[in-house]
Amino acid sequence: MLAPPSAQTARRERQWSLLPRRHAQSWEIYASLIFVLFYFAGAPMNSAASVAASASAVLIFLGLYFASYWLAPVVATAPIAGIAILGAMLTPAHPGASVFLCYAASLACYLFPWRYGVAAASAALATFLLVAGSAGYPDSYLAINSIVIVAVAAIYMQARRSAVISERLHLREAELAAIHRASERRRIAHDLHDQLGQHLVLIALKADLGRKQAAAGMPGAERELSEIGAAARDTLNSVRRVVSGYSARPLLKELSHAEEVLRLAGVEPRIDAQVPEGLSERQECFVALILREAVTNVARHARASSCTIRICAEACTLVVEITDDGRGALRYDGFGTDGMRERAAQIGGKLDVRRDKGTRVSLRAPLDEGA
Amino acid sequence: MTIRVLVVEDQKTVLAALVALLKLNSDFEVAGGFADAAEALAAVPALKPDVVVSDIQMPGMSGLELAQALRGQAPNCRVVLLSTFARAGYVQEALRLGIGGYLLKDSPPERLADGIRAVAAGRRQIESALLALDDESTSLSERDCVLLHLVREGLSNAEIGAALGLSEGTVKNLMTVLLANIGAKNRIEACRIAEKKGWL
Repeated sequence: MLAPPSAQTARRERQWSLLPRRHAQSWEIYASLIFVLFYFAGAPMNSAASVAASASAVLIFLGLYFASYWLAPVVATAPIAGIAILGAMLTPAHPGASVFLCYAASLACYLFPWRYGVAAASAALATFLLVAGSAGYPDSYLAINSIVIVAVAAIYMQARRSAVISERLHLREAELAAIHRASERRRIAHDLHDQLGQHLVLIALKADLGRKQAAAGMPGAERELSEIGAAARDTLNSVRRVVSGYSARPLLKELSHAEEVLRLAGVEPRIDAQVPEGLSERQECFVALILREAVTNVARHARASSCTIRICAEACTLVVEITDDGRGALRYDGFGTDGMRERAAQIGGKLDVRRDKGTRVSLRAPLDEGA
Repeated sequence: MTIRVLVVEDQKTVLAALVALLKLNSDFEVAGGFADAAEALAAVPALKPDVVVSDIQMPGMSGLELAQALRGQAPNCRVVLLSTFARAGYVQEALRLGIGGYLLKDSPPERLADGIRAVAAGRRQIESALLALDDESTSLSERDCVLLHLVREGLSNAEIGAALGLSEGTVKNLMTVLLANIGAKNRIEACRIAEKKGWL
């Protein structure tokens, strides 16, 4: 049997995978294969022939299992039905085979829209009750297995929902980033045209004029030359203004971006930010990056209804707090918290993540640096 | 024969430089310089310029609007529009209005003077650097649209070359590619197809 690690190594090294690209990062798909062990509980293993039979049943199952992830939803009905049939056929021979019916229900709930998922899970449950009932298994076995089928179906339906939401959010973020880039490009083009273009035209014309006047021995060339110098300095000043317009206040820009991202994720943004004046550009960049990471986590994983972003100065300390009222996400650690801590340390600060009802990420950093 | 020129440019320092540059040509007579297109338009009947040289983008009345107004009020007055940057659609709009020249504002003074002389003599002068690389409104490039415009006006390859500052051979090559692109057998068919599709 192919173990998850070897499959993953193969994917990295040869761009080859048991799973299609859209599921490639879902290690859970491999992990849930652990429940195949239930099949072996009580499987007839007393002879070489029965071991071979059991093993080939599992191999057939694995083929169908991975096939269902590769196929389009409608077509995937075939391998999922195949897994259900395998379960239905083998359950009378030994009770552990009912695990295949669980897999059929969970696959359908994960891969299909919820209505079809419910229909498929109900069909799997009915098949199980029919087959196991007529095979004369005790009621306790029927009850426990029914509960397992229903629970597994519900869990995978929920998993599908989060996967869909996270994918949608990902798309929206990409869209938002594209819009930002496009408007930035327009702004640069506009500024180049209005400020630099006009100045440079003037310099070119005056240079021509001065050259011609000097060549003809006319007065005025000297005046044109000094005006060219002035125009060039004006141009440089415009360049400075344009450039500083782009790099100034990354934190303010990040705040408005955060607001948009939270709104898109259905989280109400509450922003109470007074960016202190004494913040150096470097500090501001690092704080902006931490803010982005924290807000992305809230939007993606917290299932919050609101998120408060507070930025203020307390004595000589910059305080940034991102507080949400979500599920205090269990899976929060590992979602960039290390990166946030590292960035906080870069500006001599400390990052604290506290989970209670929601999650609060708070950063405290000294303000005197570069002020 | 002197050419009476009227200059319109909203930025006063640039206007002064343009006027001073044109004045250095003995065959030009600068009839006036205006920072406002509407004022220039009102002065045209009294000043009777042969050529109006105007910036294209100005607050208030634009160079294109000025050209349009002049076409009705002073059809004998030719127009040269000046621009700093290529912008899709401008040159086609200008050609539609029958302007004589479309030149870079920072053209070398000799090029500018020659352009004005050519336009005064009834020829076309279009700066290829001002043709936008892509134009979303048509599937033709702006250069192709300009080529077709000039073909439709009955210009030969040599005359088109002179108008665009390109050699006759280059125009011939461009035309071959253009015909193949729109699937036309000859120049006349190409114009017909482009007109039918609303590209011109």
